[in-house]
Amino acid sequence: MNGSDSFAAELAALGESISDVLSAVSTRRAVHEYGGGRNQHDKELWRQAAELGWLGIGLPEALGGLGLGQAGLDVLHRALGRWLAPGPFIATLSAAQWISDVAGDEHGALVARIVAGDLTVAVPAGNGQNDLALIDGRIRGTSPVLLGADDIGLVITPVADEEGGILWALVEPHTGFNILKMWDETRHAGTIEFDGSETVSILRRAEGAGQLLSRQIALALAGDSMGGAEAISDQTVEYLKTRVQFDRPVGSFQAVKHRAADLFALIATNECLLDQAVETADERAAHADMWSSLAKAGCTDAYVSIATDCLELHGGIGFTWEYDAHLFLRRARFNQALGRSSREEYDIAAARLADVTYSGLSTTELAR
Amino acid sequence: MSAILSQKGDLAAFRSAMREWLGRVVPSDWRENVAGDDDALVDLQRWWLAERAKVGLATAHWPIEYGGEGLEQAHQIIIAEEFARADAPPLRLFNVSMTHLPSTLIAWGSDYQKKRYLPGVAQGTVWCQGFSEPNAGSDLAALRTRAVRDGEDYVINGQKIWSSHSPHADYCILLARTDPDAPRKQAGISFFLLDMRSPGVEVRPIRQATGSSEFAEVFLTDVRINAIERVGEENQGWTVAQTTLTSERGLYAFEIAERQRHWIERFHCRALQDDADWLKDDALRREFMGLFAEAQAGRRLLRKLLRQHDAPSTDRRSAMRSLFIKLTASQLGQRIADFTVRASGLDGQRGDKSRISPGAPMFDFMNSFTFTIGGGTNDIIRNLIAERGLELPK
Repeated sequence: MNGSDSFAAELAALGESISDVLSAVSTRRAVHEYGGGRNQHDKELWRQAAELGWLGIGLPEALGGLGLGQAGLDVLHRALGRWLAPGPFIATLSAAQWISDVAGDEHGALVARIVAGDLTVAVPAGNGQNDLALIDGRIRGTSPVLLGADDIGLVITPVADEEGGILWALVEPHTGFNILKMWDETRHAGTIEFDGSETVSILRRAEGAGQLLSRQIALALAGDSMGGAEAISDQTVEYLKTRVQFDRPVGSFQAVKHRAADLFALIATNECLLDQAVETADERAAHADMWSSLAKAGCTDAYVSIATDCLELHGGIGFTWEYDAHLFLRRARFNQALGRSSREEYDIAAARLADVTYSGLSTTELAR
Repeated sequence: MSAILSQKGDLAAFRSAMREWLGRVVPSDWRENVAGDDDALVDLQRWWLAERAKVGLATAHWPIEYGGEGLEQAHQIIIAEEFARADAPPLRLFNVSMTHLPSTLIAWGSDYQKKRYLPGVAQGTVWCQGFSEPNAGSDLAALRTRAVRDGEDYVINGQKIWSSHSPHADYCILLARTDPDAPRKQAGISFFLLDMRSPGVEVRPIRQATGSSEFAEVFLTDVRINAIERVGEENQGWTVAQTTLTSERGLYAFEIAERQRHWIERFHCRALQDDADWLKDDALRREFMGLFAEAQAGRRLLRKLLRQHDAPSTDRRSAMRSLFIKLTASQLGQRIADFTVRASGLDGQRGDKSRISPGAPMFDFMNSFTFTIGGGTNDIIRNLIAERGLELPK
């Protein structure tokens, strides 16, 4: 076994221990009840995540993290997706990684509060325009739709300065999160009104900051999608073994078998695509953004297609509120809609591929 | 020892020695020279294997005692990568010789069989595969070619089909039924090594949908095979054949994926230079990026499979990996070819000499069925994934 194999084995073991915790805490029943507002599952999970060090999994040890980089973060997001974990994980963990990458040492205290579980962060949910303006160091206006939590303590958002340039602001909101009702009830989206009285930290010289945040969110969504796709596919296969019609398990029909096989083939391919994106991000490769764009498009599209098929493969029970299939399908559709659309991701990836190709380099070298 | 093999202790030096040698010997115009000419393609492959043999790279990864150099898998990967990078002629003619035969004989063959047959491969012995029959395709275990014991020999009667390169083959790996009364049809099959020059062997080429003739029917009439040419025990041939069939999803598939990688990069690079129309077509450009991503994912999946040989895993998902590779790589190849046909428009439909061999969109598309149907149709592969991997009931 060489070094990277033992790191992979360490990550796999970590993934299993995370899954063990989640399987006990984030049961399907807990997720169903959370959706109906009947428990505080997200808060309980967040507390445990902080205690177990998950909130710093990818951060450098100097910032109180576990130092496992993008690969460690990816293991966590896949597990959270697998167990439909509610809470602001994608926004907060992406933000923490982004702050540690681009925002400089003076923001170390923010990162420490995130790692301790004391601060949740909201980030733009989409890629659209917003009308926030920065005038005399104060922010006014309505935020874009944010991905976050009902108790957010920090918003990261682009703002226009007086010359119309785009800056990145870290704002501590005073007013509450205007939560928008979403089809996926496991994550929160909403807006915030800024009245100019908030504490604002502006990133100067933040070249490429927006792209780095997009990459973090893309990788988180792709990981969540692969975990969820695998979970609902496994669950579907078990159902096909037990559901009897025509005096035989429906999973014995070839038409059904072929659809089941295709689910797992699609997962196998897209998992490798995500591995490529995570690896190049950790290597800080010039083409890392291209791969995160391709992984976001590929993995979230695959999740939608898999969750759709899994609901269908269950027949009538899959269409009921009490069953789990719709939870996965809603989460899949939200993952697909968050960040950039697949069309935008493919266009960005195409432009980057052209740039790298013009420079005479290859984006597809593999060390092993 | 050749200048390349003498570097085998240092992987980077080994790679650069290979690259230097390939730069000298691979003719840049080989594709044009063999376009639309099956015989020229056979001659080219024989020449190329002989060149490889001169530097010890014909069957370098085999054990030394069977004519190899005993290289590690890391070397094999470099060899396949560099052949792909240099666009060296692929050796489809020797596919069975270099892939199916050694994996089968090293696992199941007798000492006599290994010593007799393996060293010859580096010298250019061509093997073909006699598995499928007109009524035993997807249902391979239903094969009816009979092998009846007669003293020291078996007497073979029957018919084989889809046997690639059999018109050029010296030998054949053959499945035949030794026990027609076995309780399960799989339990009555034996695995043989057949000399194609034996009396009673007749080969009739079949022309394929592409227009080329790579495969043929093989008719066997009272053909005698000595019992020492049986691989494994009598009636154990089905188990032996599983080894044979799995072998092509390893390094063989790896080299194809590496070639595909370079092909895609060259295709894209040429499109940029030519400012190709499809780059400006939003739907086509996005579709291409999806295919590009999947091709890289497929390469990673293959590398996972190859690493698995070092550290075998028993989990269900890993066990399915070689099946996923066959299914996804063949579909991807077909979709890429389908894409290039659409991107090439009316011009891509021209069928003159330069456009009827590998690299031409329509040829690659028509030929893509080789991989979706060959080696077990994809629908059979889906059955195997579902039944063996997902443990869905039969």
